Amino acid sequence: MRLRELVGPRFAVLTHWCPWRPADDWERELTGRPVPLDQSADDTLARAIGLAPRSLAVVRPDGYLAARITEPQVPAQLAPLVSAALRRATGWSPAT
Amino acid sequence: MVIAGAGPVGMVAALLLARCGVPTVVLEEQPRRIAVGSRSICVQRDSLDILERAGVGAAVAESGVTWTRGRTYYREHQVAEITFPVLGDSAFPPFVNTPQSVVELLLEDRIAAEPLVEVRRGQRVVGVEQDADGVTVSTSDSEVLGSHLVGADGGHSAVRESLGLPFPGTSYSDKFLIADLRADLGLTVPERRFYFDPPWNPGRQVLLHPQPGGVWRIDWQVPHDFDLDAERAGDGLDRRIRAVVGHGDYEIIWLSVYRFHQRRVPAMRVGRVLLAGDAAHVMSPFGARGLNSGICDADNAAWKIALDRAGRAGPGLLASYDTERGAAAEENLRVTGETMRFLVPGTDADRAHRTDVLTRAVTDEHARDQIDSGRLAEPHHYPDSPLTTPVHPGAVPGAEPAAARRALPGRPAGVGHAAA
Repeated sequence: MRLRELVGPRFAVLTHWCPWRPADDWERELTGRPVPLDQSADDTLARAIGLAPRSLAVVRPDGYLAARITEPQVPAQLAPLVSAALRRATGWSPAT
Repeated sequence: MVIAGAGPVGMVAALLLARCGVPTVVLEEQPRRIAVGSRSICVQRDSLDILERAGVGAAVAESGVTWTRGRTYYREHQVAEITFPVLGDSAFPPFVNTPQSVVELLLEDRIAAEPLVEVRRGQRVVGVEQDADGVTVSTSDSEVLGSHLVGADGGHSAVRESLGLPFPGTSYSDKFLIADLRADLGLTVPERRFYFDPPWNPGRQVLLHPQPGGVWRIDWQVPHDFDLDAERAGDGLDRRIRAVVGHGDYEIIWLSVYRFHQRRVPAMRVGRVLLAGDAAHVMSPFGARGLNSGICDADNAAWKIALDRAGRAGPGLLASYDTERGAAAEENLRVTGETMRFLVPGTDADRAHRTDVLTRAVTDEHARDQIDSGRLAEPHHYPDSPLTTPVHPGAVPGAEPAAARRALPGRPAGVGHAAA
């Protein structure tokens, strides 16, 4: 399943858990680049930003990809991963 | 929160801040809007995305026209033709040509309906002071207090001057005569034309861009001593226009003469004051990077200010504005500088290069790729920003080594992140 939720003020955290095989160029380094916000479907968006299966992305309010976190082993690891990425992106973390 | 300048950059910043729940006072020197002339005419897709978040993206897109064919000429020869037959399936076209005045009016209408934005006209900024708690902006007849200040008050920025910041760079001696003309050129599709060294403007260039409503924007490069009044007094202006539009009727909507500058401020942020748009950087219009980069500045500034006000920003968040947008300005100046070296060569070597490329381009299609009539920008990337989480092992708790990722079933072997 895919889950898109808001963490904090307009920070989209896109998680991508489906066993979807990414496009050939999924390993391209895209962090730090703007996400194509005109892609409405999560699956298309995930593909566009090279988000691997069982991974998540932190998208800044201006649409830039602040973090793309690959392969957390268990869902419980999501919170600290998101927290770390948000802390880096803003200096603020929802966990603190 | 205070914004100096009710131009497009200042208004976008105000609307994006309002979207974050931040009230703003916008100080504008002009007592009323002077919405004439095309000025910056090309709005790119990424800017349309930002404008949509500000509430006007769709309206701007609908107001404009997207040209699908571009022709380039050298003297009497057509040396290049590009076509964009497919606009794609995204919400917005790759760009639209629409007058800056239209964008400003749409933004102004949106602001009129936004209770969190107050525009105060006839207010010239004369001084800026700041401390750890906020900013005090002095105008000719008032003082305004705010948590932050965005200086979006144009190339002659009073905010920049108040901060004591220099504005180093270069200015070009040649001028450009620009005109908005309504005329029927008999073209079947919207078309952009670029003429290098045409017989009717020898030694210089002319650029022709479609606008909505059958209006054309024409830019003539002219000598530094060009005198528009003298040209209008005789038949020079009519002859100049006839060379482009032919013998049909035409209507002059707007005329102006301007010079190009390539300049940027050394720091786009000083404490709680952020400079945006032309107040921070000016560049030649070839490549449409001026207004578009200013809109990106506003977007970058707004959410950081909103988080800083809310106490949800780390100490480096505001500083990252200069890191990110300063790098974007640097790249835009580099690219437009290269274009200007081709369009207005300042050395014998540059002149020889331009002549060589254009001459070869008449018969050699490979030389056509070297013609530089302006490069549209992609959104600047921030891979080295302090806000961007590095994608390499150990950067994020729990991230696994690249080797392990590559070993997972279904993953192409031997492919890893460049930084891994």
